[in-house]
Amino acid sequence: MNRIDKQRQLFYMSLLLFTVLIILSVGIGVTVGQVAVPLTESFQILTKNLSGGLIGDLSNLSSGAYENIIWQIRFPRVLLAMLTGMGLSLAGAVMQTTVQNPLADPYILGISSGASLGATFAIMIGFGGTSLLAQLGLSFWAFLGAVTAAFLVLLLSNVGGQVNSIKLVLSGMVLNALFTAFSNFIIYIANDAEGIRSVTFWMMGSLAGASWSTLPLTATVVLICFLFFLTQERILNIMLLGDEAAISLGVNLSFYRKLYLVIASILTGIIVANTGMIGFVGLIIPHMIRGIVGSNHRYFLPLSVFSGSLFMVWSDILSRIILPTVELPIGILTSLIGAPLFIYIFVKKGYEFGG
Amino acid sequence: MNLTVENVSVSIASQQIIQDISLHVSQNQFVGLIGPNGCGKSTLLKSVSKILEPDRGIIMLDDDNVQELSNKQLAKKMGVVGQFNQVNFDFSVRQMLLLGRSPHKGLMERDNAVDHEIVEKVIRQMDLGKLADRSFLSLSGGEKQRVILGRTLVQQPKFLVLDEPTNHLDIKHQLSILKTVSALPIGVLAALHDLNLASRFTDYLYAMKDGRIIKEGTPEEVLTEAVIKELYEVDCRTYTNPILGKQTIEFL
Repeated sequence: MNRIDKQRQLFYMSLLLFTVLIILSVGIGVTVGQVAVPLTESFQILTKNLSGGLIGDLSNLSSGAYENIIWQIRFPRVLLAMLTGMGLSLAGAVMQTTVQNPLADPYILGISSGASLGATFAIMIGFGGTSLLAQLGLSFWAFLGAVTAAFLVLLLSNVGGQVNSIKLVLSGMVLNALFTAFSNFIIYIANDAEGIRSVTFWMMGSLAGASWSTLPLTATVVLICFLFFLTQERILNIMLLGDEAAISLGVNLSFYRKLYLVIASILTGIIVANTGMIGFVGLIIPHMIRGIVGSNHRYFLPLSVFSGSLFMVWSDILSRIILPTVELPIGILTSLIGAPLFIYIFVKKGYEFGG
Repeated sequence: MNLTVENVSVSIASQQIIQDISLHVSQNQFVGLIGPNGCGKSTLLKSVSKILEPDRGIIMLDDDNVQELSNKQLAKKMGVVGQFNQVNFDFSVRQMLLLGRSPHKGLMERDNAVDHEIVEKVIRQMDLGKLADRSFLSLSGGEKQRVILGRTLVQQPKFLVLDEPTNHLDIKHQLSILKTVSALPIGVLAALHDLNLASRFTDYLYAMKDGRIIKEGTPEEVLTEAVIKELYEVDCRTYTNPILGKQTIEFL
């Protein structure tokens, strides 16, 4: 009993530590960028706006443009980074459990190629451009593509009996190939240089589109999904034991598998619609946390979500400062940081995959 | 609890695996299933534990039709140890055992002191003390098998279904598991490979071949030279073991 209490204590302390780190990182995240805003002034602006104008006084700012930069551009962006990290890690963790495969990631069920097809379609067939309506159209099509792909995968893996993990992975791969072919076909026949650039940019991921208008929806979806999966800890644990063992413990997995995949797909779809494709986060963060705390979802799920969030905030910060004049697409950076980090853990901890 | 299987037939992928099987297990009885590989023992056990659905026939656990019980209701009554327990992800042994409490838990209900106490009791009963804090994936096949049986006991079932429970086990643990199981005050249906162990521990035996029951009775009635020849196509001699007083088989 004592041992378990100790474990629990350690868990809550880590959560607290992560929370503090995330808050600090958000603070740092809003100050860095092309225009350097002093840290104290950034915090003044944040406290003023967060408290609804009650606390703080902005009359002593060195430049009036700062408030705009911090509050309208950077803060929504850092928040989007947080939510993206949370959402992708959560979706990744759940997908790995649902298909009982440690190699699964949020994009495994053809979600990425579905979203790409939607986005390519929108850009190449005429929803492209820079107007707000066009941007919204792009997100909408990407979301539609992602969710359609996930439903098709579920449908396909349901043919000829119960959904199982191998059928899911195979269906995902097949539809992935099909959607990629469609996307490439559209790009090839459209022959539109500007469009190709937009598609490429979208596929590398970006948080630059963050704005107060889209954040509430994203935040709501991510948080509801997080809370939902927290309540499912027991079934998620049982899911790792396989179908037969699960039945003998009173749980029929095929229903829950579908339910979880649909929810995780919608979650991924919402994020992809906002940010484009940001790879690797959903794969490595759950892996790393699993390697450290084991597979008990009670600890594993919250820690993945918190560390994913921290990881994305820092990836975003680096993507803005690593090159002196331009911003690096964040999808490149997550893989650039993620891969070595993963190798380090892999070598250092003698980590067995899935272990 | 009493288990009654009546005229059950099961097919997998339109191939008939077992045909017209009837058997009965009473409260407190240890009933064994013997037969060659592929004779349908596992299929029968899977249909009893609601993993497979029979084409025909009925399976009753006391007054409940197993097919009509929800998975959770069934899991509160029946514990199952399957033959394959492949896991890709890791748990500590204690965590694995705790999962056995799941059928008794509501959706949001956490494991409480009573659950931990039950787990500790099973750890002592099953001699798992040395393994309790290790990771499940690091265990040997036999150790895993013991943990899975332990998890099933944590479930506190009123009926137990075992598919080759002594697979991978060394002599000490073969004996201790069968002793533990046969001392449980519940009905047990187990597929067994080792005929001498079956003779020693079971109260009643069913012999299966090609999806049918060809002989049933006490171990002395079933484990005869003729039946064993028919089942396994090997010659043997049987005699009453002077030490244990049990029917014993010597293969030729």
